Amino acid sequence: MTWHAAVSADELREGEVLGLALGGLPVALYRLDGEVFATHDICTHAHACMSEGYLEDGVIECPLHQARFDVRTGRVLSGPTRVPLATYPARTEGGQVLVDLPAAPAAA
Amino acid sequence: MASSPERVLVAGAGQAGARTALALRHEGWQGEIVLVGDEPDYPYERPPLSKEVLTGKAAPAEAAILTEALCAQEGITLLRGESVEALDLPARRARLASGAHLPWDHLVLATGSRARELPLAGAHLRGVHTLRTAADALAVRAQLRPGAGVVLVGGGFIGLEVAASAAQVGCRVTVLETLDQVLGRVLTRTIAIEVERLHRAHGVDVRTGARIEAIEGVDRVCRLRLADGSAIDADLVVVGIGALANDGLAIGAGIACADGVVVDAAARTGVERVYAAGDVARHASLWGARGVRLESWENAELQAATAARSVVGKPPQPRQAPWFWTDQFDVNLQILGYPSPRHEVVLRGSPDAPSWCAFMLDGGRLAAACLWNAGRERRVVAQLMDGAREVSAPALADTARPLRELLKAPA
Repeated sequence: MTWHAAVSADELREGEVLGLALGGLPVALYRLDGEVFATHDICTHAHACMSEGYLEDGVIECPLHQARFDVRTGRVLSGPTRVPLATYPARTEGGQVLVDLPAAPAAA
Repeated sequence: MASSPERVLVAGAGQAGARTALALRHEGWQGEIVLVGDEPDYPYERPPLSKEVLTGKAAPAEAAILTEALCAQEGITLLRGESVEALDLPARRARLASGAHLPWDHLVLATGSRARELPLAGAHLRGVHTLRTAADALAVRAQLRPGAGVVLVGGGFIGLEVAASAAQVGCRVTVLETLDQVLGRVLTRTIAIEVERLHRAHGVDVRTGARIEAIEGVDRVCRLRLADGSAIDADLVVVGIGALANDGLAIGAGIACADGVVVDAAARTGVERVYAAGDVARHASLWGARGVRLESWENAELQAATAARSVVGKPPQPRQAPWFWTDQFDVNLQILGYPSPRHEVVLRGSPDAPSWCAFMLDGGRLAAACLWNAGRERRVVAQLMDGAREVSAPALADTARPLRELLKAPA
């Protein structure tokens, strides 16, 4: 695992989700109650960006087929998949959002 | 002697049946659950069958709802390759195809629907298929070879999704629709025209107003002859002209049916302790419409949950506007509500853009919506529809103003 600088902290606003490529991985960043979280950006059901989905109460809903995941744990809450979303440790340091990603992108 | 535990028998192991079984445990049902389905596979979701399964991106089992391990964990007895043949309602007993008799305390009918067959000579030639099950999808997939002539009979969702999958595989694809537009039963013309345009842009020959006279071939299909005198060579024909409710079991038992088992908002039939869910059920009333039967993933999910709640004595959760999606080429189209030709259509964004919405207004209220690669708007649109609030056409069309803001306006 390696920590990567993702975006400056003020680019990620409260209650919002942001998609980007980081360390060769599509990553979605979230800010919930001030805290930052990171998941894989592609739904485990079909090829859709979670960062284009609907975020509410710490739950991200896929824009294609309504799979819903807990942003904090990646757990499936409802929808057409049983596979949880990969989550990555994230924190804010020196005005930057940092995400800890696996070294080999294929492992995600 | 201890009395044996109560049993719920679920007839049909498609999505609605399997979801009912899981929902029963979720709702705290402690008794037995017996799920009976005639397919050899573990229960799976059907949406990928016309899309990812045909393009070779996924196997049907990847959308499995139940596995051997999950059945064991949840205490669900799954009888595969078996079906309920007859019901004795007063005795609360079912006869299975194998001849066994199975008593039940609660019965959920989730027998689904079946593809309507083409009433034409030649419809039973090899190479002519319908698409309903995993086995159907695998049989079709095996014949989707680059350059193959594929004809879809019916411009509904199944036909168009198979057309898109076949075109993506490299087949020569023709869609034949008898009406003057595709998706005539479900979409208004504005959107149907865009769907036709999408298909033509990918090389699909979409023919509306097309009437088939005959399917020709010796023991395998080779061409279709149309009423206008033209003929289309075909290596494979997929017929997608709608589905019929598998309500024969219920009719045989005297349960009220009308192309589907009639149920109330709690998934109850007219018979005590007998419920119905999924494609086979006809809602007496749902979201303002009377007598609707929905063949959708969402309905199978939600009505299964409702049936399970009724079994354990809990009231149904309120339903939102019906929701449906289709994936064709690079387009994800989501439909909310019941679009009707009498609605005023308001476009938000241009159909020439990759993403746009069409709203259907009925007397100042949002009655239906179509989201073209705009699924991120679904939640807000559903809320706008459910609030029964007045919405103005200019506000809906104004792309500079987030839809979310319309929720804040006084209802």
